[in-house]
Amino acid sequence: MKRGEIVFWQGNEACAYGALAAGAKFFGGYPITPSTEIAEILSFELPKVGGKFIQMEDEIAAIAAALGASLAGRKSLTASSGPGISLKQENIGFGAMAEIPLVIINVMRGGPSTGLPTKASQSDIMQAKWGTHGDRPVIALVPNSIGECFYLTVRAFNLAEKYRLPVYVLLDEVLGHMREPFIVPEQTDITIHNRKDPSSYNLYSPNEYLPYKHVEDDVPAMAPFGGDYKFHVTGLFHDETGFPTNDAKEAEKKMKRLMRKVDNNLDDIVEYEELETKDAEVLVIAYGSTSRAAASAINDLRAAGKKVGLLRPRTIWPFPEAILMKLNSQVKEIVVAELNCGQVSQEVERLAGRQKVTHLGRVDGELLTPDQIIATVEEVMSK
Amino acid sequence: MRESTFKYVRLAKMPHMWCPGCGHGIIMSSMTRVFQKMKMNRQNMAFVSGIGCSSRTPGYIDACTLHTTHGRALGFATGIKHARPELRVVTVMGDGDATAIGGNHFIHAARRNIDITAIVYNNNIYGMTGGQYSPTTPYDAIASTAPYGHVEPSFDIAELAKAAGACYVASTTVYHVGQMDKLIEEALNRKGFSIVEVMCYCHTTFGRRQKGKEKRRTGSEYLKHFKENSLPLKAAAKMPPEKVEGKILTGVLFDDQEKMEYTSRYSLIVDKASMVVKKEREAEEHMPPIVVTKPSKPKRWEVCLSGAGGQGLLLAGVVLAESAAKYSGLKAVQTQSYGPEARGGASKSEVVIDTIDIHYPKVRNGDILLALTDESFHAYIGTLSKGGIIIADKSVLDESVQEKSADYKIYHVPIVETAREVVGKVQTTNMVALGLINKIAGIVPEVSLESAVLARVPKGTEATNREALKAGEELAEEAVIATVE
Repeated sequence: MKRGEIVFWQGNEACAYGALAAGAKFFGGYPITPSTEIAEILSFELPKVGGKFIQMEDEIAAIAAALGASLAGRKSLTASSGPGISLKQENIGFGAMAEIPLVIINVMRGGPSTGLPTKASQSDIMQAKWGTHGDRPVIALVPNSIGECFYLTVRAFNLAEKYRLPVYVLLDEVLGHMREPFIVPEQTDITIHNRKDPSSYNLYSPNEYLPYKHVEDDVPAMAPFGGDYKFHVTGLFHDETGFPTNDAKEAEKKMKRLMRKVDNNLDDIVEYEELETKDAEVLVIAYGSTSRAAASAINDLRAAGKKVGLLRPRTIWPFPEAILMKLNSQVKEIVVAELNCGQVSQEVERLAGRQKVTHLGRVDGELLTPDQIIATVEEVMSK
Repeated sequence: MRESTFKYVRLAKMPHMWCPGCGHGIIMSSMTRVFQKMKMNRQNMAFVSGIGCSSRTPGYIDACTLHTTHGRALGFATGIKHARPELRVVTVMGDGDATAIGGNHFIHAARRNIDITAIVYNNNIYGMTGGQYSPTTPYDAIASTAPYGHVEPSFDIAELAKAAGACYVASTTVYHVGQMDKLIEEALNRKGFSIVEVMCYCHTTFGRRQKGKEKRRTGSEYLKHFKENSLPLKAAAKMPPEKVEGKILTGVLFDDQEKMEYTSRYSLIVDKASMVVKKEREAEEHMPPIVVTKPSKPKRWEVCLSGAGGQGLLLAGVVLAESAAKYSGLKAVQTQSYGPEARGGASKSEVVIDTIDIHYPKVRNGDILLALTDESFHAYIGTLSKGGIIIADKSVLDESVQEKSADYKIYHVPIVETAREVVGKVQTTNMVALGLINKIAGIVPEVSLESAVLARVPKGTEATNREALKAGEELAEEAVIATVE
């Protein structure tokens, strides 16, 4: 691969190379359709850059190894699809609690259970938000092109490192296996964010280091396991020192700080794109590969003089609430197009306080077509 | 606990949380003595555990310590060791943690022979949760979930580890402290997956529940029991089986210092990878620049290439799209649809080509359908616009073609046969089809298609594939549109 040259990558390929561009040095995985290409590419590429690949005995061990490697100071990722993500959930919670940066790529294929392994779905949106017991801060990015698969994977690493938490990149099978041209950027043109290392930032000496200190920006510095900084990590509620505590006040302080890492940084985390929303009377909300069908539909509807716009979240969690509220007060109708039974439309309904948001779903493993979206928009317009 | 070992202990965390009389502290003491003897560098150590009483040990060891999820210590430890082989990684696990919920990780860590030392505290029970039976609870024993006596056979942890591939396997008890120190030291000195199983006990949730001579209410009763009922493995080997029956066997069960360790083995592939990097750089230097030849009349094309899995349609789609995007200055998107089978079934590859950005990536109003099988002809004809072009292999039935010939322009030609008979390789069917389609429709300049084909096909097959393209083009010249008879 020559930088600056045109490549014709699959979404999965773009994620793998995006991870490498972000500085990933470790992949822990397990084979599963339709995400396997990410593992295959990284098994070939990581040893070339001093990185490590390992295919573990199961999905649980795969994320455990990736978290261990990240704790040891290496940027790390895992990739899977719904059934595998279900298995990873306990350690996704561990990553959130222990505040370990990690990127999790989920190439969604639908379910419940084994689902449609070679078909597309967007039905793990709520799994990404809630999938593990307990509350936790969640960041999930939803690319819709090969370029975005690359750049949002880089961004996922940056956010994971910056806020010390596992970050999701959610693809669907169409995007994972779709190919389109992309010009690989020069490494120097890629913004990289690394975790706050107490030694390189000269923040604390090993004796005064507190791995879970309640700092002003809510993100404590993170020393690599194995080094001058000795500390304890646990999935139990813990105080600033990292040791377990049953103290109610300490538990509450920890939980609230965890949530603030995302809640107080929405401007930095939330990204979205608007298309023709300025004078729109009907707002279509779509993300991932579905948003491409929606963009085609909106072009056609606009050509026919219909005032329709598109809101496309690039960050699905936290949901782009501010822009939704702004557009909500402007438009007459909202249509949410997605490959599930209403996961985001219910969220939009909840946020917008609307009686009814029109949900256009598709759950047969195929992508929604522009014509289906056009028909739904025309129907709500004629109401 | 000796004062000289204190630097390995987080004294501020004392007293520990184990019950009075528990043997877990004996094991921890032994580890700290060995660390001190070996002058282990605390800055170079990762100490990992799962969940349970034994898994609280890391909290008391002054190093980088990680208390993970139930059964997963070895998963995390594997990540740490693989990422940073220079670190010394130790895990402590209970019997349930290591061989029930973490059983899969245990056997695979052993199989990989990754350089981790595992100390398994085997007390035959889930102690922290109150005495439920574990994979090592003996037959007939009473547990809170085996009130009538336990009905399952138990694991032999040491034999399991040996069979799975660990390089060093040893067993001892909390009574045999001197032996424990020696075995833990040996385990730490092995490069590979080394395990020491330490028989311990839970008088609180297990011993006091047992009946008859198995009833043991205190730690000291257990220590006495271990003292009186243990046999060194070496001695046991010379004794008749009836004398060994029911005894706890101690000592080294297995020790293979020659066995190749995982991270060392992985470091060997790094050399292979750097050779690949060298070759890739050379190839990049000699790579011809991409020559873009624009089509004279560029337009939007929606093409569906269909047939059976294994006919190379995905590659054909990629090549067609690349010929447009890389070699013709156009926009292109390629998607695929396939079933779970690697060969057979209906498979399709869709290519959309345009002069402007493409949003919806699939065929919406198809211009061309290639069908290499009758099944795919019927499965995908719905994507084609009226008046669109169908290029059907001869294997598509005559009646299928006749039925549709009023609505579409249909070329019914021997594509597979041409690949097999003219080119001499049925594997080139996809390239014959591409040559044929492009000759009929003129999607991209011929030179662009050829460049895309040559860039994608395996080295050494360029001439055959070029020949296949030509054969396809010639086939187009003979092909006539099928009409209603």
